[in-house]
Amino acid sequence: MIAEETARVLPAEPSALEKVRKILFGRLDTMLATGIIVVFVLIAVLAPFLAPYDPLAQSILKINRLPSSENWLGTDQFGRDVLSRLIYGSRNSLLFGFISPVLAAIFGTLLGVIAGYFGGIIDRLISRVIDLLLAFPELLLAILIAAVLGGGFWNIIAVITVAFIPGFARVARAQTLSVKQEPYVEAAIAVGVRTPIIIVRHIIPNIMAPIVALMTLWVASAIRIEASLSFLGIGTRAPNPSWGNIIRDGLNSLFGSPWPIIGAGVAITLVVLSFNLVGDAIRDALDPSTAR
Amino acid sequence: MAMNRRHFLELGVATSALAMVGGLPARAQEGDTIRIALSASGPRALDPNIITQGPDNWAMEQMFEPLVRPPDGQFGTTPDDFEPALATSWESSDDAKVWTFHLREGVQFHGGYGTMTADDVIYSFERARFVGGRKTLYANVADVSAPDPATVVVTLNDPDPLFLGSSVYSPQAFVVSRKAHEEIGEEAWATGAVGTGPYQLDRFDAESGVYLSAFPDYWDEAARTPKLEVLYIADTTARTLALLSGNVDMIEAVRSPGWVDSMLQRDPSLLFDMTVPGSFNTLHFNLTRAPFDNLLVRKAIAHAIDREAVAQAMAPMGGVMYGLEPPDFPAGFDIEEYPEDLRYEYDPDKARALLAEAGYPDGLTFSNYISQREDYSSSMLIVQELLRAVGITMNMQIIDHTAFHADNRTDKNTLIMHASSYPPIPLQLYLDYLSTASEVKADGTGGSNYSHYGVAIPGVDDLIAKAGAATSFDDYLAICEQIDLQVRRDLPVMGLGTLSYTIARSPRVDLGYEVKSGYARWRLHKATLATL
Repeated sequence: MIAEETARVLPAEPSALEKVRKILFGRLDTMLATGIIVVFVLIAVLAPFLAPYDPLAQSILKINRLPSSENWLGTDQFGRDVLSRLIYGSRNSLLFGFISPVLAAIFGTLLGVIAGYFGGIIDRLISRVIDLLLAFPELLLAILIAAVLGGGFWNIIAVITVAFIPGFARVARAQTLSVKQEPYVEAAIAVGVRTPIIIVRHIIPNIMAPIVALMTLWVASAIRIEASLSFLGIGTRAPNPSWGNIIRDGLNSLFGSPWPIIGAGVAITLVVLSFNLVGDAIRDALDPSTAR
Repeated sequence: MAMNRRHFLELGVATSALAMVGGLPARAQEGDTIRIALSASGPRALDPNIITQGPDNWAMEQMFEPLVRPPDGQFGTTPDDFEPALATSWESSDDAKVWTFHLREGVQFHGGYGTMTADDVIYSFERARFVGGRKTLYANVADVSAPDPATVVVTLNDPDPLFLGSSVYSPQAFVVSRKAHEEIGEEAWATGAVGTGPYQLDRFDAESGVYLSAFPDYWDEAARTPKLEVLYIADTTARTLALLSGNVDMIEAVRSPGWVDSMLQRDPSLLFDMTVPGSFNTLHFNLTRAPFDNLLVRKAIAHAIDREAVAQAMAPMGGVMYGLEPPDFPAGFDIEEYPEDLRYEYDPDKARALLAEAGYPDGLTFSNYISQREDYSSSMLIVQELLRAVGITMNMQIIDHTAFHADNRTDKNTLIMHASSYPPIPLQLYLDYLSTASEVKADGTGGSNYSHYGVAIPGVDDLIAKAGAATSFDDYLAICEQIDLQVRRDLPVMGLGTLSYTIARSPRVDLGYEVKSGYARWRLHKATLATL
């Protein structure tokens, strides 16, 4: 279906942005997913105004309460309001979700372009390191680095970023190798344009489509990895809430109140699913290699 | 009923699905086996002289015996409380330095290793004194000898009127067979030492647990239930479900706020056995690290912590403890028994004022770490919130339980919570937490004096030595109270609360006695399992 649409719009040469817009709002499921993402972003941004309580404030007198008009999703084993923790938790989850893939895209693209453009020993050096990192699944790599660095906001950002860099570098290198052969690049070299200018002006803009597609897909993975790390106790540090550690804390008092786990579980599922749907749509729109 | 092919297939599918679900074998012989599940990933040791993880003591408590013991379900508070076990009678010299034990005759070791003799007792004490993981506890022992095969004489360097409770009734001095050790060899011994208890070892499985059966040649009434399985299920949810589903009969409780209530909601018939006071939860300030080298900061933290609230959050397992001993233990203080300036009552305003006086008018931030085990992490999460209320940000990392202890022992932590069950013998805790000899060392060779008290702030060692030399219980108590007051003034460590060691038990299991106090383990020789 996508291929047909692409075929139909191709003669008009629409800009990438238009294609994205068409994909995001052209289909019901992606539109719904986009809507969910927008809602969660708003929740994260407006957390202080939306959360009914301080997410850290404990109340020993109301432990493990079930949902009520006072606490919509009940309280956890320390008497903290579950809804407020989920709302504030969305900040951590989304921040990780956005910052890490963007950083990974920047560093990974840079490495990939350098390797692809210069070739030779530089290429071999970078590629082997990337191969080495690629040998580990992202989550495993993240756990490894987190175990060494310890938890904390920036450490986890760094962890997820490093885990994602190899993927971007791989794609960027492959794209650079093909773009490098294009006549316009050869022409630029011939007229004596300096290398950094060639890379910035001619190479990078022409390899961006798959990179952006990859980036949106990995937002979902980043949120998932952050939740996994926090669940394992090496992500967001207590008492700060993140969806992962809300589930972790909730497991201890599963029979006290299941609502922390249900709430955070639903939130993670919704957001990850939405980003995956939107990411797929963007990839289909931007990346010609997947268009059938 | 005629069974057609389809029914047969459905039955087959259902049966194989059931078989796949059941990790534990179906319970064919009800009443024959009691299963208890503990909170650790697997057993590590079965040699009473090895310091291992707490849960391992459960199997050992059934397999080994001391010379004397307190009644089941209690700590012996005074020397009169102790009852004969492998010794039938005993006496001490007037200065409490020479202790003579008359051994029970005809006691058999497990596995056909023969009759227990004085030589085995001497051997067990030797291991405790020279190769054990708790040699300091036996440093006071000067000599152990046997004038005849049925008598053992222990001579001490310093008087110890509480010798029975402090050293004899301690796993390190449980009696093991010399002959068996020599035949088995050190390696196999570590997971299969040979003793005289009501249960003998059938199988040690490093993955799942320890399997025991009643020892047919036991000297006393045989264990009432033929088989005992001490299983290990670290995951709290899995352990809880195992009890609720009836796969196990007893589990180590999850000591976090609200757990007991939530379990009773699921199954109101469950029973909870708790030691009172249970473990002592203490907060140790590392005096060699800023800002805890500042007495004003330590006082501010003492005022910031609402001990009643901590105890209430852990109800019904939690208790209040102000000093180093629970109020009803020897040398324990209730809040109003302290002089006014040493009470450190909960007062956030005063805490803020003290912080300002200490040079932190805008509060302060520090980092530490804590074990992920629920009793540790939930206590400290409450402390974290109480500190936040007075402007102190505690950047707390929650780490693996084993790593937590390893890091504490290498002096890496700053504000350290420690939980340990102690008998009503204050000196034991002082030696562990306060004495210079137990000072924590960066290379890990030190002990559990995490605050560096005695070194960073000298003076306590003399008092501890005086308590150790006391010949009467009253003198001993007076010096111990002096130590507690001194600690209250210097604040290297303070009480956070007590937390009962708790086992949740199916009503089908009858223990045969009531658990009141004691270490974090108890005997199951009288336990029976009612059949459904």
